[in-house]
Amino acid sequence: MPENELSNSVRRLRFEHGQLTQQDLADKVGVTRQTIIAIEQGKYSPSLPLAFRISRVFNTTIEKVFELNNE
Amino acid sequence: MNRTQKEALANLIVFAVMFFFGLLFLIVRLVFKIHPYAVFFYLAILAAVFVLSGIYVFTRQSLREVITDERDKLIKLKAACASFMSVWVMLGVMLFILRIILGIAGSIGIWLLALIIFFISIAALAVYSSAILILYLFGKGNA
Repeated sequence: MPENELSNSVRRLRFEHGQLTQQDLADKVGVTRQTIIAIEQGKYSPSLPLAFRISRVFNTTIEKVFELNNE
Repeated sequence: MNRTQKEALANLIVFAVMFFFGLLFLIVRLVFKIHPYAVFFYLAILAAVFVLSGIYVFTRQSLREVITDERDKLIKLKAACASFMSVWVMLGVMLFILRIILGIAGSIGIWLLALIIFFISIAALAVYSSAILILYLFGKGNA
């Protein structure tokens, strides 16, 4: 199984939603800021519940935030 | 730094201080023949470092700060696995060393066995804390 097969648009979406900071997003979804940084850098793939919480913050679907590479 | 990283760092600092001052105290005690109660000075230093590290770990950056999350739990689990494996490696190395020094039918005192277990426990905790810091720095793709 290839590494980092999940890419995401979290960073772009944060800026599109009123310059939301990493800390703000972390507080809204209930994780630490380090986890948001790791997700943005592709170092960590979030669990399904967390991915849903992140997509809800941006009022969009999970597929628009996270994309599976090598499909 | 989040709480988990702070805990790991504080653990390593306490172990380093414990080891460094312990060694220093032993050398001073043996060379200068100081009063045996000077060990309380060493314990006071340890207690001070312990309290300071506790303040560092439990001070929150903000009231909304999340203490732990799913990534922290995953990293702690992996660090615990590394620590568990290190215990067996250290026990194996220790048995090998004892076998060389004492021979196949040699024996050791209970106090030495307790000391070995104590040091292996401390080393395992140090491995656990180091693994946490390494995984935060270099962990990639949930691995």
